Amino acid sequence: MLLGLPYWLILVIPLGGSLLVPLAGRFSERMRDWTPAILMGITMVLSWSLLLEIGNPETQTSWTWIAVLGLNFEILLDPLSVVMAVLASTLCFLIYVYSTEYMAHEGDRDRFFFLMLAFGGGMLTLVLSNNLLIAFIGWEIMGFCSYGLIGFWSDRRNPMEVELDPIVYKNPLLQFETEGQYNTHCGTKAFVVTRIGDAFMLGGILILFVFTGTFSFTEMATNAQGWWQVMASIGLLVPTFLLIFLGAIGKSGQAPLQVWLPEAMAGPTSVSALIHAATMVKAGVYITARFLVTMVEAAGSNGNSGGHVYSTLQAVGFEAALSFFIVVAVIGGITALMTATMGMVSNELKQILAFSTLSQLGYMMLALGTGGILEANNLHFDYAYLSSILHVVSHGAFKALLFLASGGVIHALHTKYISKMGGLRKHMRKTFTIMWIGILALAGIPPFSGFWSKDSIIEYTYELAVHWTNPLGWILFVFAVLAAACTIFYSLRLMGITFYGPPKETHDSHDSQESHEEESEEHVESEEEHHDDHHSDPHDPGPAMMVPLYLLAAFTIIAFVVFPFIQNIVLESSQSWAEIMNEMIMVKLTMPGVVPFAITLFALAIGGIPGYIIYIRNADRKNTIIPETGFRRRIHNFLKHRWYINEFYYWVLNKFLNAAEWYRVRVDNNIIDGIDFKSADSAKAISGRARWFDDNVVDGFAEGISTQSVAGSERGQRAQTGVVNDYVGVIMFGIGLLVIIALITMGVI
Amino acid sequence: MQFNFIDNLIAMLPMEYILPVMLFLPVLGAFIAYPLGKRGARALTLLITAFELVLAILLAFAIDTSTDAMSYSWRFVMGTIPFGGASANLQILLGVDGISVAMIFLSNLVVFVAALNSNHIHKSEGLYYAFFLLQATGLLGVFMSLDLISFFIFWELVLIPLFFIIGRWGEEGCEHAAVKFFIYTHLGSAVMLVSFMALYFLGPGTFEMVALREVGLPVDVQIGFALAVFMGAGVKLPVFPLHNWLPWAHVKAPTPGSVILAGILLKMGGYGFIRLGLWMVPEGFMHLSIPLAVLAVFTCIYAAFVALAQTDLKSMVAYTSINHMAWVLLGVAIGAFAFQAGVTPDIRAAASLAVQGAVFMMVSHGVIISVMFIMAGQLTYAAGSREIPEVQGLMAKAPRLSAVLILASFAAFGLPGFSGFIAEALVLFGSVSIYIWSGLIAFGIFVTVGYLLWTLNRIVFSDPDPEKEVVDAPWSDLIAPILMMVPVLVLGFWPDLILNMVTPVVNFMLGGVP
Repeated sequence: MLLGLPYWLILVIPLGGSLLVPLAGRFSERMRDWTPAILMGITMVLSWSLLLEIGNPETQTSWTWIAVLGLNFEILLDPLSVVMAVLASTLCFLIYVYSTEYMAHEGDRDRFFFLMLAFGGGMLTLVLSNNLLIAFIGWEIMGFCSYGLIGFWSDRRNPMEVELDPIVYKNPLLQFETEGQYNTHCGTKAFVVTRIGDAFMLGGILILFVFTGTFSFTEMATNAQGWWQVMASIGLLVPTFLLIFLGAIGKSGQAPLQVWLPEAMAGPTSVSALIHAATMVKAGVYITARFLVTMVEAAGSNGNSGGHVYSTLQAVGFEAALSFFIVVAVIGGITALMTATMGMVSNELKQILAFSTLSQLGYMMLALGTGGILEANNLHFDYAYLSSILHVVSHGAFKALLFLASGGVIHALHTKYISKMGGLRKHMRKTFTIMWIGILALAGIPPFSGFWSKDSIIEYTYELAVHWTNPLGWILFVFAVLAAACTIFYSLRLMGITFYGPPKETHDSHDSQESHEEESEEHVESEEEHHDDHHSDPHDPGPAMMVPLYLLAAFTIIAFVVFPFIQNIVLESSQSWAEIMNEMIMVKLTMPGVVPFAITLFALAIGGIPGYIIYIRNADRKNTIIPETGFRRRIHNFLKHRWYINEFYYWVLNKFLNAAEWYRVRVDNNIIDGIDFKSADSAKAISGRARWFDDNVVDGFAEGISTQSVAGSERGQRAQTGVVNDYVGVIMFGIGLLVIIALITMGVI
Repeated sequence: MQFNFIDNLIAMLPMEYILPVMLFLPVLGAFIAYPLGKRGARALTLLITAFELVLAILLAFAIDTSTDAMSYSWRFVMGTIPFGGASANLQILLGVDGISVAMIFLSNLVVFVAALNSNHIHKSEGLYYAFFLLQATGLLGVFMSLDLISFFIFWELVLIPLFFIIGRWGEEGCEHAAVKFFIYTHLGSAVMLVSFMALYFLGPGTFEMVALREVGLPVDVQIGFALAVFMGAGVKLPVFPLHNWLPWAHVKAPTPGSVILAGILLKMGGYGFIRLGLWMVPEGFMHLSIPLAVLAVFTCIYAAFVALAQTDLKSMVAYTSINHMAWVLLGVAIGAFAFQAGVTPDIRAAASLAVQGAVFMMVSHGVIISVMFIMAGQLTYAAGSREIPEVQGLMAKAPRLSAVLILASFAAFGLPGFSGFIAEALVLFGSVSIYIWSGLIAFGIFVTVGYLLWTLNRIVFSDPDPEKEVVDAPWSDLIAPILMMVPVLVLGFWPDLILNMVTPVVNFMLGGVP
């Protein structure tokens, strides 16, 4: 690595540094806020330097972890890992910088920055580790940090902000008195839902270990003991990988575990940007991609350990995993479309972005699944896989950009609902421009980054549809195209409602009371000038928040210049930049690539034109597109309720809790508790008796001996009368007795 | 364990004199402490007990655990009595093996902590500390002696200073308690002395334990001697129905006195059972195995129930120690089973486990119950009373005190992670594989958990009574118990520190190969 430093520094700096954050807070608030950014900056430089060492590490990469189990801690320096590490560390760095200003007026920042930095360490641990178990540890560190950060504002006492047109939930589990309760609930929900996947994943990892005998990805890829063939022959291959994939489903919010991500937006915006858009949710994609690569290699090398008992089965190749990748692709496709439709009606700014994140994650999964299916049909997997990675990179950048920009909006307006915003383009010009860049990238408009990656995903699904005998390919293709149409629709809707049209005053009336109080307090405390005028007009945030935005926006625009390099890195090819560039463009314009491209453009028009007309051109007029009743209202409600999936889970949970409560009241309280209390009472009664016995009988016996002997000696004492006559009388009596005895013995009497 | 610098240190020291130095240093200190009075005496006592503790740790490092032979023997002949053709040596004969070293370490630790905890003694300090150091000598002597006469001398030497400590520095009613303590234990000792004499005449005409052990006494003599040991050690342990001195003495004694009594005096009984019984007359104990085991199980459950009904916290802790020491007796009884003809190695291993458990229980109980007694004594200063119904809401008013009390209670009922758990588990594993019914003793744990948690509920986690004043314990009073919690936790996670010394000796003792 750079300067010959050991590789583990990349993980240790953020993980160990996170412990220093509260320590730094003891000395200086400002130093504490910048500690994560500085440490992550160092880590970022180190991560970038890894790009030069892909495949040929310069120094030691493996350290013994548990010698008894033969477990090593290894750093993996293959293209996938390094690209992910560079992406994660760069985004972490930018968002930490952004957080220094965004969080500047919040309390308890020790906790915030500690969790943020630890999160960065967890992510790097996951992507750089060559040991599945350690990767899983990183995975769990991220889960924990995510939990802590979503519920970061757990102590907010104010009631929840109410939407203009709120959905009323009847379920008692969904009633929250304060915002703090809601935030805590969201954190817990995210943790619990992802844990469901994680539990299965751990099971899958252990099953896999039983057959491979190693946790190392590179050793798995050599297929040393023919595990691929063994597992395929006993039918465990697909189930095991499905278990592992369940972990990815939970983490990356794929159907049917997508329910946690929209609620995860309760956390601070920088958290949403970093964890729930740019990095952590990509962990599921990463692990699936990682297994795709590993599986391709393992299936390719046919278990050449020599004389293995299963040598007769070595004909099994990659096609054994076909059904696994079909599942991946179908779940990805469903997620992409379903969550995009949900995003079309949501009213919460960050929640729309969350739905869009879910949808884009679905695209990535779809691409990976497509790659796997193509490979199983003896077509090349690597370009579909590449498009997935490109989408990870481009989405990481533009979604972080969108979140950070919308964080500025929320910061300025003190509301999270777009229905209370409007007309912001006059006040927040810079944010407005940047938001447009992000939105165009998200919608997939050329030449922004999202176009290149998303369009190539659609292209490979088209290729699949054409070459695969199974009609499922066509369904996936249709899903991908429809999702693209939905995406551009909700993107434009978001822009239109937030930035166009007349400014709405509702946000002021909502928290004017509160803000007045805040303001007066701030005047007293004379805090920074920035806060004093937040009440007058929304305005663009300061430099620490804007500079990361500019950088991300720049990348989003010029991404197509960078993508050829990434392609060279990921595919380990050595084509020239111009060749790839040419290929990238020409594939869209020539047969057969022009067909899906045309279809996509058509889909964008279908989604984009209504979106533009309703929300941007007619932004000043009252929106009557959804009538009060009728078919369209029903569709709207169905989508607004998020297909009722979320509520269904809560319904089941509530039923279960009611059943448990019934059991507690009827059975546990009466019967089992009854037994408990009765036995406790009888134990007390017995112990009372035992104490009485001990005090009176056992001790009484011993004490009795002593008191009786004392009493006996006292009775004897009475003989000592002190009267001489008595003594003389006794003496006389004794002498007489002796005389009589003597006489008897002498035989006189 | 390899600590080079300690090994080097041990090699430099004249280790052959370590036992007499350890033994007589406190006596010497006692004579100096008396005239010093007040602060001087306390400082000297702390110094000597701390030094002794260091020596005990050195001894634990130095002891060779690979044999069952006695190390560091030292002999001092006090006199000879010409008798018939031979002559009886009245001598002090010292020597240690792994079990003794464990006990010596424990007694020095307990004595040191008790000395630390004597900061509330404000009456004739010189005399108090002189007595204190004197009984320390007695305790060490018991665990070092290899001769019946010296054993008896030290055994009695403990009694006299403690009699005065209880009687003079105790609470109201302590005179009665002191007399009761003295009569009970002295009666037991008297029976034992008679049996020592009898053994001299019936046996090979010597008082040396090793010789008596190796000669192989006739079985009926062994049984008789075992019964006498039961009288002497059973009172100290104590066993139902010889236990009634204990609640009196423990409750009325000053807190350091209680600590000494519960922490180490009771272990003299356990040690007596192992050294004089299991080690010296194994066959005699073999025949008593079942009755002793029954008695142990009964004592444990009985004491647990009686403890439940106590209202004085100190009294409850006192019964808790009866309840715990029954485990030691059970371990000894199970160990005796190994001497039956034709036992399989599995059974012998199980018996060995039980005896190790017994020794470990002595160490672990010694440290845990010391903390419990200190905390019970502390309660008087904090809340003005030790009566459980009169103390409420300690957690709110006295968090430091409560924290230590809670930890100590957890340790006392054998929560895993504390040393008590290891001890109970060892005894239980051994005993259940030999007498399946002895698993009933676990019911004792069950009751113990119940009453300790119930007590915590009542005094610690209840709502504070606003009319009663409760002050938290000062740090100076908490040094001793917190120090004592360290071995509790360390041994809970690393029992091998003690077991490494004990295991080989026990395996040799039970005739197995280590």
